[in-house]
Amino acid sequence: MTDPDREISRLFEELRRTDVADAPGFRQVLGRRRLPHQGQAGSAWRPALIALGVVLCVAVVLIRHNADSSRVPTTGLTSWKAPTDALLQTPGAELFDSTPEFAEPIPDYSGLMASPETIPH
Amino acid sequence: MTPADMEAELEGLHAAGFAWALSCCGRRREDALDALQTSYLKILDGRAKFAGHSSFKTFLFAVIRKTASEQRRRNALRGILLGSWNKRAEPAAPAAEPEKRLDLLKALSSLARRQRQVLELVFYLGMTIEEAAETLAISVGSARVHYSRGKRRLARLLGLRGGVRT
Repeated sequence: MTDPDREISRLFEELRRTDVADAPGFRQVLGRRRLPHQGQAGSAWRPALIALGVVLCVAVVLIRHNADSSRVPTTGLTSWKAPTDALLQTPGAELFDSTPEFAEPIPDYSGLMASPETIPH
Repeated sequence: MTPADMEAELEGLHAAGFAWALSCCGRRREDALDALQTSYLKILDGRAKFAGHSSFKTFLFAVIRKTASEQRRRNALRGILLGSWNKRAEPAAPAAEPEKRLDLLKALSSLARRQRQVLELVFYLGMTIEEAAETLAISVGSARVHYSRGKRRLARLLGLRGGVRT
C-alpha cells in the first residue's frame, strides 16, 4: 500500500471510529419510535390534507348545485312515447288488428233444398 | 435462517450498518436511523428476503442502500409538494469536527456518488471491491473503475502526494 493509500485508510478509519462510537444500540434502533422529523413531516402533510378536503367539499357542493338547477323534468321510461309515433297511424290500420264481422247472421236456406222424392227422373 | 439467527446477525453487523446508513443518507443521523430501522424491519418481517446468494453483510448493506434511496426520493417528493412547510434538517454543523475529518467529508462530498460509495464500502467498511460491487448491484469491472478514479481524485482533493496504487 502506498502512502496516500495508507493516509486515506487512516482517515476513513478515524471517521468510522467516531461514527460508530456515536451509534445507538441495536435494540434502541429496532424499537425506536418514529422520529421527530417524521412527526414534522406528518404535521406538514396535515395542512395540505385539510386544504384538499375543503376543496373536495366545495367541489361536491358546486356540482350538486349545478346539477339541481340544470335538471330538466323528465317522464318515466314506461310512459315515454316516441314523438314520431303519429306517423305510423295510417287509415285502415285497425283492420289488421281485428277479425272482420258480417253485419247480419247468414240466412237459413236449408228449407229450399229439394227432398229426394221430388226430384224428377 | 430463523428469525432469532437473523436478529443475531443484524446485531453483529449493527455498527457497520449504522456507518453505512450514515453514508447513504448524506450523514444525516436521523435519516440514517430511520433507514436502518426500516431495513431491520424489512428483513425481520420478510419483506426483504435473504436468498443466500451473497454474504449476509452485503445483503444487509444492499437493503440499507435501497431503503435510504427510497427514503431520499420520498423526502424529495415531499419537499416538492410541500415546499417550505417541510424543511429538512441539514446535517449537523461540522464546526466541532477535527480538521482532517472535515477535509475528508468535504472531499468525499465532491466525488461522484458511485465513486464515493465504492470508496466508503472499501475503506470505511472494509469490504472487497467484489463485495462493494455486489452491494451496489453493479459489475465488478465498473466498481474497479469507480474505485481507482475515486481514489485518485480523493488523494488529489486531500493534497496527498505520491502515486496512488490503482
